[in-house]
Amino acid sequence: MMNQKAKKLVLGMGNDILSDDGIGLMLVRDLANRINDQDVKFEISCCGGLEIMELIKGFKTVVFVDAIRTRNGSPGEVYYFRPSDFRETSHLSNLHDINFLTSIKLGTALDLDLPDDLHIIATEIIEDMEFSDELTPPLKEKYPEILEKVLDIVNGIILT
Amino acid sequence: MNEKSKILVIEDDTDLVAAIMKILENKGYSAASASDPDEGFEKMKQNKPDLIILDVMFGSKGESRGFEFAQKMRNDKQFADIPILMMTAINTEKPLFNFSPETDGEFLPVDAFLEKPVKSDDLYLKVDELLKQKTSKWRNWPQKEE
Repeated sequence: MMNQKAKKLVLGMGNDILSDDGIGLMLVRDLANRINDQDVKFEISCCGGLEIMELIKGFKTVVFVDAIRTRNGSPGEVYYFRPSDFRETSHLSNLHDINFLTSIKLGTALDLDLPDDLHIIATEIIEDMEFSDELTPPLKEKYPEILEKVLDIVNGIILT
Repeated sequence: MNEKSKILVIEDDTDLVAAIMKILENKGYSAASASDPDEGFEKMKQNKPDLIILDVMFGSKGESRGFEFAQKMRNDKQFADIPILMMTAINTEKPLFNFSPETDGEFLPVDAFLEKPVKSDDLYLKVDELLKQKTSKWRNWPQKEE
């Protein structure tokens, strides 16, 4: 799963023990088994904020795979956006640390070797405040479909 | 109850810490974490918490440092009054850990137990109860007052 010389990083964010919150981790584990490209490294992390900088520095392209809860979203819906149209996902916002955009701005100001090509894929979830190592039934049912959508998007990014 | 009650989580399982902190912050609490008892004590000195959520076992060898930490706290006048919610895994998978809160709890200077795997409802209930309680019942430990 790990490739130290990879130029592109697919980073799953979330927490396996908070039900749907772990969907980003599940997706990246499955993507790692579906994508065979020496230039791509797959990683997972439960942390947001400043720790992200440490994970992403040195890569040219980073694809974040996270969960999101929007007001009118439909569970299982997959969103794709760039930092320019940034919406806070579950872990790219961080209540006890600083948020994603602030991390990037700080890292750039500190002259860290941060990627200039950032992509964010987020899946609309239902539950992330209950301890459970399983997805909620609606997301579990839609998971194969979600995985295919995310795979298509990631392939589109890493093949360009 | 103060919406910004400060809670310090002392636990070495990073996933569990992240999950608990997310849930606590979502409920309006201010949460901080420490990965072992020593770091926990340092953080307490910097910013005294209203409640401590404490694991029992730390490290790969499963040292039961949570017990020592609880006793050390009760012997420190500065921190003796802080309630402790101790997380325990009461199971048979850890043969080194035969402690049972039901039988041994009264000998430990902690205020309540949270069974692992943690359930959100238990966490909310016990955190709320202990913050309302405000002061540990073991604040004068080892001289028991109750």
